[in-house]
Amino acid sequence: MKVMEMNKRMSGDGLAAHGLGGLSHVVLNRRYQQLLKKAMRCCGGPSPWQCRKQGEAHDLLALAQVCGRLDVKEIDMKGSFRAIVVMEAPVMLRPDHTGQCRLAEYAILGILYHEEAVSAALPGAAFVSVLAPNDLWYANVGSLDKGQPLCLGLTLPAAIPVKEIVLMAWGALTMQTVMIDERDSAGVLNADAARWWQDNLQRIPLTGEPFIRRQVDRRGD
Amino acid sequence: MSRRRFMKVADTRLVCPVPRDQRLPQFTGLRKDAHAVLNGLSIGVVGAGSVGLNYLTAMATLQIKKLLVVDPGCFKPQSLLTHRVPPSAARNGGAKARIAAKICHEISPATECSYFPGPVEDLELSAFLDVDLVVLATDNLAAEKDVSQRCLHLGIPLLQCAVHGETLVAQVRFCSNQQADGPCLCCSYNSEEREHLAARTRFSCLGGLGDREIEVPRAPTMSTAATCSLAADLGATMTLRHALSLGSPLQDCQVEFCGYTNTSSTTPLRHSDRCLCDHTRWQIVQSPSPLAQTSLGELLDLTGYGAASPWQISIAPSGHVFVEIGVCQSGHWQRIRRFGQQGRSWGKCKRCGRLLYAHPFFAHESVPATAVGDLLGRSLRRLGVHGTQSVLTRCDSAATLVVQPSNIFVGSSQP
Repeated sequence: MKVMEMNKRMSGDGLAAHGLGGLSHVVLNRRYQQLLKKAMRCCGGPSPWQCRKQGEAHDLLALAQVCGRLDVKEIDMKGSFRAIVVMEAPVMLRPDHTGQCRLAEYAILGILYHEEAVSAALPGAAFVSVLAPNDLWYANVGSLDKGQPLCLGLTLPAAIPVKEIVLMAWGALTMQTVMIDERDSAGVLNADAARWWQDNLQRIPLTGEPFIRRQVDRRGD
Repeated sequence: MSRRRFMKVADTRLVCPVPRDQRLPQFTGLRKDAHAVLNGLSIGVVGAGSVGLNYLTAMATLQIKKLLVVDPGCFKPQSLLTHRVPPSAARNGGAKARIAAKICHEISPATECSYFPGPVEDLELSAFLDVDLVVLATDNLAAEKDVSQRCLHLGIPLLQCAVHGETLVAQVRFCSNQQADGPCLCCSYNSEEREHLAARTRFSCLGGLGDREIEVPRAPTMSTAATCSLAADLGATMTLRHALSLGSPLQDCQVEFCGYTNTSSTTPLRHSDRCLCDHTRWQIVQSPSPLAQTSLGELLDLTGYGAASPWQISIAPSGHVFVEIGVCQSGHWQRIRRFGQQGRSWGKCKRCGRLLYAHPFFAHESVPATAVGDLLGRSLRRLGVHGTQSVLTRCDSAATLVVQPSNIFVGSSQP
């Protein structure tokens, strides 16, 4: 009951009042507590890196709990920080042979956070791979044989938190933030998609919904 | 990114025509056998330009045991304005590292001179393992960070020679690296230098972290030959003081001479908690057998981490990644579970026959032991590791570099 009350305070308007910094105060639901506990049992690396990963894991789970459109399936902290999350978002797929657009309702994201990212700016494509669905149709998503990396910018600043990467991924997939100039080498991984989107600007963004839903997510309680 | 190694200047002469004792002074207060020390002294020099080449020739005249030269650049006609470079080399634009090593070998045939004409970041982690001192003479911040980090890990003293031509300043910084928590060159970086370093790093969008490229500064060293030479000679003098233990022991410090005021100053260097570098000291273990024939389990026994919990341990053969899952152009996933070099293909897809590539989410530059638990009995070669000279193993905050029995591979140079 206490967990639900706390989460209610921290969701929607509550989170807006506290900002993303308030995530560390969110009490995780039972399922996420178990997920975090399991990941922490196999947390490797130097102590500061272990602490960082544990903090990132908690914040990611808390964000998933309060936002209502994210479900964390797995967290691995043995080496680099790795998480598999399902994001409910309209996701654009390659148009079919008739040129009709296809939208998927979710994306499975592989979030990879290297230890090096704590102290150095890393390329924007180094953090998120779209594991499913295949054939994404975005200028800033790489090809299948490269693991569909989602480019979030030329470089991301050192020590960027995972929760911010998730928000950037939401913005990129829903096209609330766009980069479709195929002549700009920064961020365009699919020139065909970039040109297609230039001709279909009216479809942008795919949704105007905010990332945080107003309803509290009580899955797992 | 495959790690690379030094090449040796081919020459069969082994004796210097003029022995050094004909000019080497009897240093005041010398408590060591100077000739024995110099005969065993090995130095790695990164940067063979206006400062580095002068330093190299100064050390070659001391007829030391070994000089390793690293520089990715080539000489150009303007080099004549700041270097003591042979005019023909400046005109023809040869590789700085190769020509500098040859010049040193001509001055001192007894000195073993090797060179690497590429970025220092591409060298094997163990490349400087058997040198007594590394000297940095480049204005490339990324190279500076890389060398500083290597020397910290390996506990090798580092000397940096630099100039500020506009103010006639010659500067030398010395990091003893005796303690892991001592100062390194990056400890004194300000926010501007940090941003500068980040801005200079360029990444291949699809190549992953291994395919980064450091933008080499295009602006040449704007200085007079005399200021460059002064910095190099200050560095050579400090090297001699350090190697022969002349005067009081050399501390972590910065020595600066300003030509405008004819004054010199010495300032201590201090460790910063905000340093970019990892201040972990690596333990060095030499493998009794070639690394390729060593199994992962034997590696862990060598490091003494065999008893630790597997999730505390990670393994990283130099220049290799461990790939759990590959993906083809059709998007099919396939289990791979072996080491290999980044950027290459990993065989063919069993479903569609197209080439497989490492999936970035399932590739490890440093693989946790838990991910290879069932492969511990296999040799590194069977697991796809070829030509590596070292393997870095970590256990919590400790790290051990396991190196080949013969650390530095030396091939012959192309004339």
